[in-house]
Order: sequence, then structure tokens, then C-alpha cells
Amino acid sequence: MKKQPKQPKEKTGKRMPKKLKVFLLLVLLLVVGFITTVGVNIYLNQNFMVSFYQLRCDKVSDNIRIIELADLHNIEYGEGNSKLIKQIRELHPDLIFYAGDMMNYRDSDYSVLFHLSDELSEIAPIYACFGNNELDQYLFEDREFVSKLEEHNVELLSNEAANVKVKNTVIQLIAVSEGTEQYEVETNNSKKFAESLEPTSNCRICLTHYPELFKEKLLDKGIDIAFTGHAHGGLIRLPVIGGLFSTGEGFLPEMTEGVMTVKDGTQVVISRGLGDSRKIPRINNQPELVVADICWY
Amino acid sequence: MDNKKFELTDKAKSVSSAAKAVSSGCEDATSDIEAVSFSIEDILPFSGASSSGSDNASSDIEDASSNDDGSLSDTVDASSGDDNASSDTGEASSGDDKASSDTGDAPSTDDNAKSNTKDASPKHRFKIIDDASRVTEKVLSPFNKVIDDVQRNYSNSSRIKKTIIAMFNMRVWICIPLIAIIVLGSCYFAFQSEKTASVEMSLNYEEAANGLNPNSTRFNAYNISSKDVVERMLWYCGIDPESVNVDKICDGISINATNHKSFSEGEYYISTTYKITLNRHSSIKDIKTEDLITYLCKSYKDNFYSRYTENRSILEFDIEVFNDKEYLEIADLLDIKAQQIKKYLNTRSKQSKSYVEAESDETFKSLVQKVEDIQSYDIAKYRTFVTMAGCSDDKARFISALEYVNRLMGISYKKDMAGYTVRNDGIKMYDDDMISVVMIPSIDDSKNTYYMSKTKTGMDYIAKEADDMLDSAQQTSKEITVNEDIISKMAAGTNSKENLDKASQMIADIRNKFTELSRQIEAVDKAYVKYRTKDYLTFKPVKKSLIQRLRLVFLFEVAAGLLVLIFVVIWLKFRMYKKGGKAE
Repeated sequence: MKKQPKQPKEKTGKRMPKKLKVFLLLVLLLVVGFITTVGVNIYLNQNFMVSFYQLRCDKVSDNIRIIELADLHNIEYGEGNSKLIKQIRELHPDLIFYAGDMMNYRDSDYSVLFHLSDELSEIAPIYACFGNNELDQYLFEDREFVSKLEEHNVELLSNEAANVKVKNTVIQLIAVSEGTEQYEVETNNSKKFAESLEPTSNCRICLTHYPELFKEKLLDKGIDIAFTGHAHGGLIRLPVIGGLFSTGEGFLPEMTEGVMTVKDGTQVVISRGLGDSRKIPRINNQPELVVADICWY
Repeated sequence: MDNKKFELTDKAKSVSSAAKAVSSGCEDATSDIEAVSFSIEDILPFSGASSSGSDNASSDIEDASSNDDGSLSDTVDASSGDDNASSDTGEASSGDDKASSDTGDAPSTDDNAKSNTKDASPKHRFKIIDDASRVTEKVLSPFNKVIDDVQRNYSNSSRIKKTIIAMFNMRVWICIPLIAIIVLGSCYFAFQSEKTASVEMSLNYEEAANGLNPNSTRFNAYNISSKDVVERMLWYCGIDPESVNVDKICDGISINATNHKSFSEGEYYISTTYKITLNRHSSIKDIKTEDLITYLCKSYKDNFYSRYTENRSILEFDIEVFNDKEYLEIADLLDIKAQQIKKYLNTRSKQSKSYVEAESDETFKSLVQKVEDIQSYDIAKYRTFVTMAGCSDDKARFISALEYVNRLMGISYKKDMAGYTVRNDGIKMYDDDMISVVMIPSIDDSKNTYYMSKTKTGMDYIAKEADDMLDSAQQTSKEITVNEDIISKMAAGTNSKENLDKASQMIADIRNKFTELSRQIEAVDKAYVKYRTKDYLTFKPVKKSLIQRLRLVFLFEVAAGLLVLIFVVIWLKFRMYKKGGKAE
């Protein structure tokens, strides 16, 4: 059998070069991908998701449900945060925690926070700690901030402890106000307070804005569970790698979301937060409402 | 009939001549091509009947196409002439046997065709057929060209080889749809897999091997799909049970035993591991299936701990029960509490005497000792103090109440003593022989031996009743004495505010000691449960691999099936050609 040689194809007209075709196709794909990503992220960032975590602590006798709100930055989900309030009401929390940055830096408009607090305080007791935004507001702008918050049924703890009874369990709630940089400054009380903590048979829950404190500063303080925020989920979340940047830890931070068990066994809950104050948009990083169920089994 | 055959041959010839005209580069090629397609469409209705006559026509066409160069075949393909010609020949080659019958049918088809041709709008009809033909040709033309090329270039090779070469030449057109099927299928199955989640439940306690719960009631794995558990799951997830169909959600939960073991009749095997699968109902939105099944497990665990494990509520200390109680009554309540805790600890101690809690070095025995210390020291001290100090919120009422109790107990004492005396007298009235021991021969079933059993008579029962009544009378007498002592001391006591405060302080101290002890007991108990049973139940998520989630094996099987189908179709196409490049 003789194989006949292939005949060269006749060019019927001007054809686009193959490389250009591939290039245009890639550009088209990139544009479509970019538009889709932006669209999806705009949609996701306008809605929050609920993240459920189950934590174990032998020191509690009952099922205790805590809802953590962090980094709201005066954002509203629905008119008067109706969506957020409805969702929290449906989840039946025993305690509600504000893990800091519920308002914006040096912004005296507290209406969003106060309205939310008024509504949520009807659902469960609210405890809060200072975030960097609130602390700055309190120290340099408004010394009445804490008392104003108390008027709206929020108990703000600052480097202090409180015993809270939930069902048949007594929880020792502590709050640390300063981040890693300010933690050891003598005029601040965070370090003194943390070192003055004595062992307790009650479940000790720490409320602080800064997760990075659990890398070193707040280790071996007998803390069973901690609720934190601040990292905003690392702003841009990449597959496999995780968060890209956080204010506390810089690039490729370790503590940006979820529950991490640190060296001394403390379970640190890190919220991705509900809002944003930066110009950098959240990508692949939907705002979240944290629901933590604590139980002994 | 013969006339028609000739007519066909003529038309086929006109096709080949038109093709040749195109190949020779005629300027009016387009009009010729149209003429070809017109002629072919005209032929189409008779193709089945063309049998021997069409052989010549098709061979002519084949010759025309095989002798011409590539550009020619391109042009012919575009004009739909060659393809139709070859398909006609294919049908023609279906066999000589069939040909005769086909030929028999031909007139009627021919008549229909003719009658259609005679319709009012023949031009319109041809236009529609022409358009449809062009579209079909456009779609199929790349493949026919490839197949024709292979047939031309590898005419002496086997059909299988030609098919493989053709498929290789068409690889892009074959691969793209197959990849699309796999990708779209993967997306579909990925979406579907989001609606399903599974966990493996293990029962870690001793009684599970006998199909029992820790409290020895019957274990039923299907409780996990019960309405109670599912409603609790919905509550945890913030879903209003009234907004969804709970029964449907229950139906979406499947429970299967996982540790299968072959067993014969008479043997049975009780599973201690189960696979629980949840298919998320469409009415549940905005929550991941993984979260749902996690809370299903938690709800079941809550249910299991509250119903089928030890009740630890005895360790809780509710101070409110002391409200509106007299100081001495509180001492009694504290004593009862201590007894209850001791009973709980003794049960645990019997289960595991050697258990030592690692963190505190406590054992259940050491905890019992702590309870006894509180009971024999703190509570006793408190009791003595409130009695001596005459502590009471309303002394007169309390003394009066005690006196009333003593009066009632006095009656009870007299009643017991009277009963005792009557029975004693009755026994004395009987003859001694009547109340002697009666021995009855009996069989010990376990040893299968005889023995003489000592049997009670009526007198034995009366004597026992007399003894019980005497005991009761003595106990009542003792209590009356204690109460009289209390009454006298209370009456003499000052019942001052300081004493009352001190008594209240003592209660608070005892309460704190109990609270602390309860906490220690709870910690040891939890650690014991963890050590002995690993929390009774453990749930392990069943994670599917990516291949399983996307059902890639299935999709590749489908793709392989399609590949085989394409192979068969192309192979059949080659079967239509004669060896050496001529159609059959």
C-alpha cells in the first residue's frame, strides 16, 4: 500500500494567526473569569454566612451556645441589620460576644452598634471587649464610650474578669484589651491582668480582638476557649494557602479563620469578621457569623 | 422497471460529470454543484430501489472522487454531491437479496415522488430539501472528508486499522465532546455530592455488644432518624421545624450497619458501628450538608446522654430547696443529699475500684470519704449548733410542730407495742409441737440432689411480725426521745440573731463544700466516662475522595462507551467501501 502524500491546503483568504487566536482566547477567558470573580465576590460580600463550631470543654455541664460578632465596622445587613438580628434570633444563643471593631476608627456615629445591641440584648446577654477601633475611640475621642455601651445593655470588659452563669455552668469570662505591640507596655494593664489570673475550676473563656496573642503572650494562662477577630480572614483567601494578609501577622498569616488549638491546648476561635474598613476588598472571603457550641461530650 | 434503472444511471452519471466539471476548474462550478445537489435529491427517493443499477452510478462517482485531487473532493463535499452519492451506494450495497424486494417496492415510491414533483410548488420543495441537505452536509462534512481521505490513503489496510487512523485524525472532534461530557458530568455530580454527607458512628461501651444502651435498655440505631432528634438538629441550625417537612427530612436519613460478618442460622452478630447518610432535603437552604449532619450527630448525642446514660443531676446543688425550711430541716436535707452522692459514687466505685483520675489523683473511694467527712463533721456540727442554740424562724410554731409529731409517734409506738404483745400472746397459746420445725424433702436443681428443706409455718410468720413491730416501736421511742431533747433545748435556746446568722453561715459553708465536691466528682466522672467508654459514641465523618465525589470512574466509563460507539460507526462506514477504494 502506498501512502499518498498529503496535499497542502490552499489558503482561501486571510486567516488569523494561530498564536493570536490562542492569545485572544486566553484574554477572553481571563476577562470572563475576572468578571465572574468580581460578581461572585460582590454578591458574597453583601451577605454573611454562618460558621458552626463545636468545642469541647470538660468544665461545662451543659450545652452552651455562644454567638460571636467581630469586625462589623458599622456594616448593616438589611435595614437596621434586620437580617443579622433575625439570623441570631433563630440560632438561640446563650451568650453573645462582640470581639472588637464593631465600629469604625474615630467615628462618633454609634447608631448601628447601639441599635444592634438593643435588639440583640433581648435575645441573650452581650459581652464585649475592645478592638483597636473602639480602644482608640475610647482613649482619644470619647471617654463616655463604655458607659454609653452599657446603656445599651452591653457589658464591655477591659482587662478584667467576670463570672457568668449559663444554665448550671459558671463561666469565667476574661477580656484582654491590647494587641501584641501594646501588651507589654507598662502603662497598659493587659500583661499585669493576664499574669494575675489564678487557676480556676470554672471554664475560662477569653474575649480578645487579637488572635496573635495566643502565639506566645497568652499561653499557659489557663484559658480553655478564646474568641477573637481582627484578621478579617486574611482579606484575600487563596486555595490551599489560606489568608494573604492580616494587620496583626502581616503577609501569609497563620491565624485568620476557624478554630485553632494552640500549644497549651487553648481552643482559639478566629472570626473572619462581618465587615471591612479597608479599601482592599475581600476576595473568596465571605463575612461570617460565628456560632460556637460548647459541651463536655 | 428497466426504464427507471436507466434513468437512475443517467442521473448518477450527470453527478459524476458535474463533479468532473468542477474538478476541471469550470468557472460556472457553482451552478453545476447546484445541479448536482438537485440531481442527488432527485435520486434520493429511489436509492433503496436502485440495486444493480446504482452500482454503476456509485462506482462512477467513487471513481470520480478517488481520481480527483483534494481540492476537488472539498468542493464536492461542500456541494453535497459526493456524500449523498456514497450514502446511496451504501444503501444499494445492502445486498442483492434485498434488492429484489426493494425493487418491487420501487414503483410506488417512484409514483409518490412523481406525484410530489407534480405538486403546485416543486421549487419550494427542492429548496427545503436543499437547505436541510446543506446543513447536514456542513455538520458531517469534516468527518466524511477524513474518512474518505483515510479510505483513499489506506485502501489496502484492514478496516480496524483504517478506523483507528480515522479516529486519530478526528481526535480533536472526538476528544472535545468527550471532555465536555466528563467536565459537565463532574460539575453535576459535584453539585449533587454537596447534598449528601455521611458519618460513621461507633458505640464504644461494653453493653453495646449485647445490643444495649449504657443503662441496659435496648439500643435502637434508628433513633437517630427520629422526629425528636431531627427537630433538635433543626433547632441547632436555626431552622424553624414548621417551615420544613420534618418527615421528609427523617426519610432522607439512612442508617446501615458497617461491620458485616457472615453468620449462619442460630448465630447472630450485633453491629457496633453504623454508617449514617443524610440527603439534604430541598426545603433546607443556606446551610452546608456537613453542618447538618454534624448537628444531627450532636442532637443524637444529647438525646443519648440524657436518656440512656447515668443521670448526673444528683450532683447539682440547688440552694432554693432550702427556702422556707427550718434550720433543723435543712440539716436533714443536707444529710439526704450526702447519702445520694455517696450512693452514686459507690455505684461508680463498684464499676471500677482501681480508677484514678490523672489530674487530681482522686478515686471514687476517696471522694466517698470526702462526702462522709462533710456528713459526719460539718452537717453534724451544724445540727448540734442549731439544736443547742434553738435556731428557728418561728420557735413556738416549730416546738408545737415537734410536739405534735411526738404525739403521733407516741400513738404509733403504742400501736406497734400492742401488735407485738398480741402476737407474742398468740404464739404462747399454741402447743409447742405445733410450732416446731417442719422439714420437707426438696430437690436442688443445680446439683440434681435431694435435701431436707426447713420450711416456715404460720407461727414463723407471726413471730417475724412481732419482731418487726418491736423494732419499729423501739425506733419510734428513740425518735420521740430525740425530739423531746430538741424541744427542751430549743425552749432553753436564745435563738439570737447572731446564732441565726452563724447557722446561715454554716449552711453556706456546707453548700460551698458540696458545690466544690460536686465539681470534683463531675470532673472525675467525666474523665472516667472518657477513659472507660470514649464518650460512649464517636462520630467520624466519611470523606469521599475527589474521584468518588465527581464520579469520575462512571464518567470515564461513559466516555469509553461513546468512544467504542464512535469506533463502531466509523468501522461500519468503512465497511461500505470496497477494497481498493471502491464502494460496495
